[in-house]
Amino acid sequence: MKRPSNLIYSVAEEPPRLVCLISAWQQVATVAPLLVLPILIERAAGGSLGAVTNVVSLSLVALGIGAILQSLTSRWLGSGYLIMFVFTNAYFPASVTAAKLGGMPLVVGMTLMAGIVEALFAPLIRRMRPFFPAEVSGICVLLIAMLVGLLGIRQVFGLDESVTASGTSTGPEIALGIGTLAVMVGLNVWSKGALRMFCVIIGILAGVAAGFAMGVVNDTAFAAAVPAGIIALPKLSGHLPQFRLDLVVPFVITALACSIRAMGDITNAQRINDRDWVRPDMTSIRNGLVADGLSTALSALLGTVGGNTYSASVGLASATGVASRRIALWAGSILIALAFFPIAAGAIVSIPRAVLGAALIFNSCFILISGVQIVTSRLLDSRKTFVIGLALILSLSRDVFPGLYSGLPDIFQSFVQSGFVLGVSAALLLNAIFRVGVRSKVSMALDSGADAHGAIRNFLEQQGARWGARRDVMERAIFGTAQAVESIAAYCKPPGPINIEASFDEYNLDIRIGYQGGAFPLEPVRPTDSEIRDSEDGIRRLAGFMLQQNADRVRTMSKDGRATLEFHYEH
Amino acid sequence: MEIIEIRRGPVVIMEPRGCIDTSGAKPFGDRFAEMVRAGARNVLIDMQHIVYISSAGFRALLVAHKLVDDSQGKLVLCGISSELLRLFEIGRFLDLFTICATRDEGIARAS
Repeated sequence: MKRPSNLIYSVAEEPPRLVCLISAWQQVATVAPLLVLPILIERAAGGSLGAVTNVVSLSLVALGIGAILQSLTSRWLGSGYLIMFVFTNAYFPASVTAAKLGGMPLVVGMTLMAGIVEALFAPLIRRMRPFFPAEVSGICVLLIAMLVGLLGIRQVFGLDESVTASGTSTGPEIALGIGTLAVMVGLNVWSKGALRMFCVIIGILAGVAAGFAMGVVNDTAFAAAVPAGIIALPKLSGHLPQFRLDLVVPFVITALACSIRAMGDITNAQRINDRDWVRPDMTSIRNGLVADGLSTALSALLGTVGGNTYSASVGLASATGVASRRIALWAGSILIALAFFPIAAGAIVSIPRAVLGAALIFNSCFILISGVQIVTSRLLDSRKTFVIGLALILSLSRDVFPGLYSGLPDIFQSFVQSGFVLGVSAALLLNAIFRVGVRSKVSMALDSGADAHGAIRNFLEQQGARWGARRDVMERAIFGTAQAVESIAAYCKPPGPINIEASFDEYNLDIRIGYQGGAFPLEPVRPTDSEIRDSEDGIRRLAGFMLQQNADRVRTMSKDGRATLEFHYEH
Repeated sequence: MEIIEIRRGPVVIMEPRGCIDTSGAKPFGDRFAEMVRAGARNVLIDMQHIVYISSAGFRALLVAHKLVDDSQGKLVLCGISSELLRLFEIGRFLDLFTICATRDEGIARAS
């Protein structure tokens, strides 16, 4: 694993304590906005102000344990990366329904089931990999970026889920949100060192200070927490889990969507920590899903709502350059400690939503670019174009035109409960359908007098796009094949066509060139410049040398007047 | 092969287009030799429109380099894509040729 140049501290490094402390607080500050979700669910279940404040304390414990579990590097648990655990919009619709039907006990029971489903699904990930190629992971990350960004916009402008409602934020609140965002962006773009590293927390603190000055801080929750005392043990909810069969499908679909989101986040975390990242590490992803599922199950047992890996925390690590897993231990410990200070829960909930919205918008930018980079890391053909395009458009349509989907039969409602679930479901379904007709081995024949390079480029680029192969590997294969065919035509002078066969799986690209004639000699040693320039076989010897250097493995064979040149490229 | 030539002060900019392979290397080499015979000493080859170069093309560049060297001139290359640069690397040509990122930089180095 090679550290990218933009990272100051990568995953395995141990930053100084002060950096850990401030970075951890920064991560804690970014998960704060989504504490609003358990608050809303508890209220939907008819909870009192005291129950709401208590669920925030319990939620802090769940978030802390979730962050720590995800950062573990044990054999079966934890991806090993800094990825915070946070309450997710994905569970919101199903949880609100459960809250209204059966109160918090039903929310707890169904969330517990969903967490267990996610953990049990994890070992199946490796076998199901063809159904989750890089572009599906990238779509997940893109959709998450839009979710996070739009949630940020809603917080700044005081918008609810309805597309026609006007915002409830006042002018000063909107100005506060925009100003906070400007501070964060300005520090990230124009400053260096500590100011860049801590741009988000500086922005939030500046926003809170400005909020107090402008009189837009609502400290009701803070005031409600004061009578509980400075330190108090959070009370376990005591909810006995309940279950309903008619809620199984929405919670299982959400668990699957959260698994895919976690795959995307873990992939993103792998990518930002490794300059040479080429494909997801499935073991880390499997262990990360187990941690994510168990964290959701634990949240339920504590009496709060379901959660998921937090893309914004990966975005924050990328933006600030601090991606050490040690930060997760610090952040998790801070969150658990905060649970014992009721005033802390009140203070977190009192941060102006416009300030929290600015933090969400800031982080969504980095998540978005990461999603784009994951999607475009592979060659794309028309199949993949439609998977990506249709998934994104359908996802957007669900949020922009919610009425379009409200008339669908009940059996489909689980799949359209949110733009995210719809987009991911569409991507999975289309990817599975478009796998029909993609062959892993293809061939072409070339007349030795033909324009080799053009024909070979067209053939391999087209095929590479169908396979979703890496661009850089296909470029190497195109050069190697074109150079080989050119050299064979010039020096072996085959009487018949030259056959080219290409085969591919996710780890290997093999090109096999067959023709009538003698074997083409490879050169382990580079001829000198004067040998290349002045000797008759200079060009041939240079070609033999470059072909050897270009591929990961080359083999030449000859039998019964027929020769074969084989190139192997690791993918 | 199409080759465009432009003069900027003492520098002759040569812009070949297409592939410098077995079929493209000869017209490229012939034209370059003609230019040097006509008095060109400071030459910049802008390779931004080259999509492929094979061993035959590298030999043509080596011949061009020697021609300029023998006439005490300068040969600079520019506009090389990342894929072509990789080929220069595996062919061990990076130390031999002066390579610039942009045409302006190349003109300055060739002057």
